Amino acid sequence: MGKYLAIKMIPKGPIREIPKATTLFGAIANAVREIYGSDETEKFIREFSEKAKISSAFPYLGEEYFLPFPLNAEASLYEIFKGDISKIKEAREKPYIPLDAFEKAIRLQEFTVKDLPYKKVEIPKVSLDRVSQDSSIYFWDAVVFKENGGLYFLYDGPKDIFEKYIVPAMNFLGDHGIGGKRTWGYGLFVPEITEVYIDEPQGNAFVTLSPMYPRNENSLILWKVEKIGGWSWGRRKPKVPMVLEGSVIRDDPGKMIELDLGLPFKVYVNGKAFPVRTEAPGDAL
Amino acid sequence: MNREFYGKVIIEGEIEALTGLHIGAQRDTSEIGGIDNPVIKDPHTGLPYIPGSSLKGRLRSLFEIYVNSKLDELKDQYKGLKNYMKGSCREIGKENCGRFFNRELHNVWIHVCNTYEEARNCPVCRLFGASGKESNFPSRVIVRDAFLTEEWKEKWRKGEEITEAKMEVGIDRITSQANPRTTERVVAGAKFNFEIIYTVEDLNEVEDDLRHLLMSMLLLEDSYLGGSGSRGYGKVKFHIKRIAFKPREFYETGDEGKIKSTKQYKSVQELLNNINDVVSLIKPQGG
Repeated sequence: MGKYLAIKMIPKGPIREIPKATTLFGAIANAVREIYGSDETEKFIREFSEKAKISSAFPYLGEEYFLPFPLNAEASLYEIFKGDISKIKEAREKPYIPLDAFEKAIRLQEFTVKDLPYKKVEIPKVSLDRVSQDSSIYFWDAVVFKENGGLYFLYDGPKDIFEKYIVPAMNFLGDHGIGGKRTWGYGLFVPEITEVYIDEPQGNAFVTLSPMYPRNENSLILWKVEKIGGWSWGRRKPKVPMVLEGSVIRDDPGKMIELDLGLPFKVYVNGKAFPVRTEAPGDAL
Repeated sequence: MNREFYGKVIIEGEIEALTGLHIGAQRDTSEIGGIDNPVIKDPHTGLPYIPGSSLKGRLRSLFEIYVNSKLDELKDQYKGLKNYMKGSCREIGKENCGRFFNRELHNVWIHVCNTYEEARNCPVCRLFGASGKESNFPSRVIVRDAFLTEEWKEKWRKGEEITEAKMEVGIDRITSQANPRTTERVVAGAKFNFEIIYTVEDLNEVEDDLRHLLMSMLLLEDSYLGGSGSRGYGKVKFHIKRIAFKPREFYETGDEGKIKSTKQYKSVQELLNNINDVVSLIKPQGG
């Protein structure tokens, strides 16, 4: 039974998109810099890189936690649902499944999916000319949550790193926001710390719950790749191909990527895996 | 370029719609006899709310007009304004012409400083942020979406109407032919919880920034929020429930004993008159 600290982000409004572990790590590191300064941030990055890891954010509803659809289950849907096409279709449409379903899916057993506690919506916005009051309408995407719904992420590592850096950073980020359009109130939340238990099988493979940059490309078993970029202090970060959440890997911790953007400091991208044991289909190994 | 962080000032309270309020949304479907102009609603609950972007945009636009009208006076105080003159670039037809309303955004003209340093020395961009052509200046103000208060949610649960369909008619000036349309608006009296967060980055600028923020809120009270304001829609009033200062030490330790609050103020005017109560929370030695 894997026991993890979980940080619930109880939303005060919408969020631009569900943040991955790369975004969460960047936000936490920036928050640590705001609170403690640059020297302490370097210490945090060093300690985090060696000893700790975080998952991407996933939705929750009340006490029900959702996790990404593991790719080994996706590859075995026909066997898991014994050819029942309607169930296969229903499962395929969900990027996240409840924790109890996840525990069955990583054992390649039949599971039940549920409606997700959020919606992706387009919100109309208007900009007004300051002189003539001419209006111009445009749209922004946002993720909005059901009542009692929100996001959480998992932490695995030493308690002192958690208490000294992660908790203050989340208190700060709650009042500062995470993701885009924070000044419109997107991404504000109230942090709450709890624990999540994942019943992991004694499998010979792992599902990663964060985007990872593998140390050894032979460690990939079933994977999806996305190029993850972004901005740092006005400089565009090169897009780094990362293996996405739900991918199945051999034992590989992933690694922190150092980027030199010509800034007075190095920029770090969190490519560490958040592995949860799973059973891989025999023919995939 | 440098940034520091001393803490956050949280202003919490209620916005009361004194007249019908219309912040528009797109119609998903057209139905015969349906509302022509619906208000924006939470997709899960179906209840109307005030988007943070609407509130922040309105505060900024009113403050920009104020600064433009006092530009000659303010140039001495804010060196970021020294290259601007009054007016809009629209007449000249190009961006960065030196006019105060210098940026074309989605076909409308607004004011945005182009560099971090200019924005830092501009009362508008320092407070509300600037996505500059050369470098950004992050906004010191965050305005959260304002959702209905519990009292008004309860009224809705009991079946009370939160929005009304207001019929309006355009009359042909020659034939007197009527052209009716329906506009949905939040009923007068409805209350929303608001939260405005100001990040303290420079102790010498706190009082100035907070004064400007509160002044913009006062300007809004005597203007309107949302659409059709010149026809009486969108008069709002802020009720200030709590002003709290969360210093950096709170974020370091999580100790809520470090949070300092002022008394409750019945209006923005009263708070503005007692701005030193807030400033003294941040700078206790008056330093």
